[in-house]
Amino acid sequence: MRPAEQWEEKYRPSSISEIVGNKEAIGRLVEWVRKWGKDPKAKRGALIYGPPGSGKTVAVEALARDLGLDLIEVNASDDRSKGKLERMIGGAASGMSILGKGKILFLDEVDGMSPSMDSGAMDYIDELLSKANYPVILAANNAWDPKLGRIRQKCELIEFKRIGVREAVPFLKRVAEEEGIRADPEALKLLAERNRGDLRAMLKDLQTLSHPGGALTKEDVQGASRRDRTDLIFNVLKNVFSAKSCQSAKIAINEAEVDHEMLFEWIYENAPLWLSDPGDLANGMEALAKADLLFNIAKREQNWGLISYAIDLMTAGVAMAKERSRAGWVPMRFPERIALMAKTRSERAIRQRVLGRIARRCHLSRASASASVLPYVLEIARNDSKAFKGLAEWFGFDGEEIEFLKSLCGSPARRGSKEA
Amino acid sequence: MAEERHMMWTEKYRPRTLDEIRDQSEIVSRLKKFVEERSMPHCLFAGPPGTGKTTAALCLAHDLFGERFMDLFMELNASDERGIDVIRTTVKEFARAAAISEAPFKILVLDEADNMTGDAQQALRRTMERYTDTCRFILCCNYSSKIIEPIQSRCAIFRFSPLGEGDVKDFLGWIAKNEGVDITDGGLGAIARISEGDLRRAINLLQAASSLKGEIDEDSIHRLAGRIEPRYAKEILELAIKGNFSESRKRLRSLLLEKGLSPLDIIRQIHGEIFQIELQERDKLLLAEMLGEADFRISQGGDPEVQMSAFLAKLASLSSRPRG
Repeated sequence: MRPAEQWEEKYRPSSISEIVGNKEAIGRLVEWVRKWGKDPKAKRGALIYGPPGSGKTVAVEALARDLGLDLIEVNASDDRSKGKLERMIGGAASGMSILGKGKILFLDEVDGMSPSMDSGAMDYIDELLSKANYPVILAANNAWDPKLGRIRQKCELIEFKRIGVREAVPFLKRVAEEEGIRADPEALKLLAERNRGDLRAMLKDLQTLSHPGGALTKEDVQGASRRDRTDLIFNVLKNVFSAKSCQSAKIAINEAEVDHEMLFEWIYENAPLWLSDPGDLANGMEALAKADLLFNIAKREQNWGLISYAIDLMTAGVAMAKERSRAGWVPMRFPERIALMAKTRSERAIRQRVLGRIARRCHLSRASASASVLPYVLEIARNDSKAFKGLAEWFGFDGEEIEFLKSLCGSPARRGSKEA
Repeated sequence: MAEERHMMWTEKYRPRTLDEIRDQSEIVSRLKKFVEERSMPHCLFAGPPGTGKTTAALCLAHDLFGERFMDLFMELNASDERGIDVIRTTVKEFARAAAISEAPFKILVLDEADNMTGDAQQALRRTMERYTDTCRFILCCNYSSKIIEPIQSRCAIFRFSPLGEGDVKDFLGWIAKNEGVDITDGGLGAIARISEGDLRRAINLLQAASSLKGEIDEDSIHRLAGRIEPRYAKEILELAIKGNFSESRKRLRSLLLEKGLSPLDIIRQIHGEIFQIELQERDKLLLAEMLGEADFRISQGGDPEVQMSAFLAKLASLSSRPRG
């Protein structure tokens, strides 16, 4: 069977006006290119960053077309050693265009370069940013990747955000209509939500899940597994946990399409499964605890340099902890903590409100109210509903807060016998 | 007097004037002198929870300023409103506006001041110096050692001690009579013992007990206290000791996220248990060190679950080693 044309190609925007989402970021990029070379204070390069499928590459392509500029593009699939880079763009960077047109030099996926493969490439890019006669645009998933440290300073930073469901759905609807698919709006919405702002993945899903002239229901989308993305992270985890050297553990995460925080959660969740030996696990968890502290300090103090050590500890630290643990395949699971946080978010907000009221009434902090008043109030609620009602009034709890407190009053098994 | 309105008894029976405070007599007499002289220095009230620090501050303000003292008095809780920003704004605004009427100064009470960051304390210190004419500060804390030296040296320090069991029991007996609680002498004694000199805890226990049906004796108090203050830490530790780290972490996670317990309370509970675990003595010491490290890292911004998990994993590995 002839492979069908990929929709991500078929519906690739040919002009900026066709791009979905990130209007403001694209506007800034266009502005930056237009002004390039005119304002001596402006940055020499632009670093556009954001999650996969947020439209970085298509934006640059469409921009070149709209402004009538030649696009010299290098991406991750190219061999990007210093020598190769020089050959591919060196001439273009300094010389004039054959047709007398302007140019844009575009280096895609710069955070995907591995230090050993692309030796000297970072130095070359650094140099390029100072010397090139044309605007240089770099794209990355993560602008804070430690490798990009030097380069980042010379670049205008432009963030591409995940494509919102409200922006994505009308586009998906248009594509579906074009392809003759009767798509349930709810199905499209779900499809957009599940791909978390990745427009390319949404298109891919839409193409795989539907067939021309057919229908696409919400059930179709629900039934489809999130295999691709999960496969990817499982693979990354496997490579981290089974790495034999610090370097390979560290490089393993370059493949991951999630940010460091999420990756940390995956490693932290699954470390006990991989490190079956208690001593190994203790060492691994200690490395993760240190990584966590560094991540948090980096964020609080805006000291991004610390992140590289945190990554070392989170990857190599865990890999090297494995000394006596069983080898072999281990099942992996989604970080439970993330799910639980999301599930308990609204409850925690109500809880904070309740504690705030108690704190004000009893001259305490919320933390002390939680430890030294709330448990007693709950006990009273369990035993004497009239007294609880009176106290609730005195504290000023609203209906939602009262319901919340009642739900905390012991297990469901006990609830029935309360009035006995 | 027996009003039908429900409220927390800790508030209902909180003394309103210095004369009504029954214990901490040495402290009370020093505070009364401030009232007579209509002048006071900045003060540091240090002592364990439930010993009357906040009450003393409220009563002092009342006796100095009369019934409408709330205009001249501000109470902040450093645990909720810590950080340098609050000091810069709220505290400063209150401190710098001169006191109205004939009152010589205003009083700002900063509760749980030992939870303030070092930076915030430094900022506070400058504010205290600058507005000392218009505002006097009372800092309440559990540990005076957590207050930076320059602040301590600018304050008169008052050390509140835990109440004696007998005093607690007497006071509880009086409340019980007033509220018509059917409790035996043994029951009152049990509350006094359990609460370890913390009057807030004692009164709350009594109020919770009053919601039970029938006569309350020592046994029912023990069952009640077990329900209200379960030993969460023990369960987590036991799972880790049995080598089941994942379950132990799961319990911890649920306590933090679902039950909303404060990480520091859990750490404190764990700390109370670690020397009782069956381990070699030097390993227990290692655990104490690890726990201290976790506590420290959380204070530096580390994630409570991750930091405590490192401790639990260490415990699991120490327990799995053959003894001897």
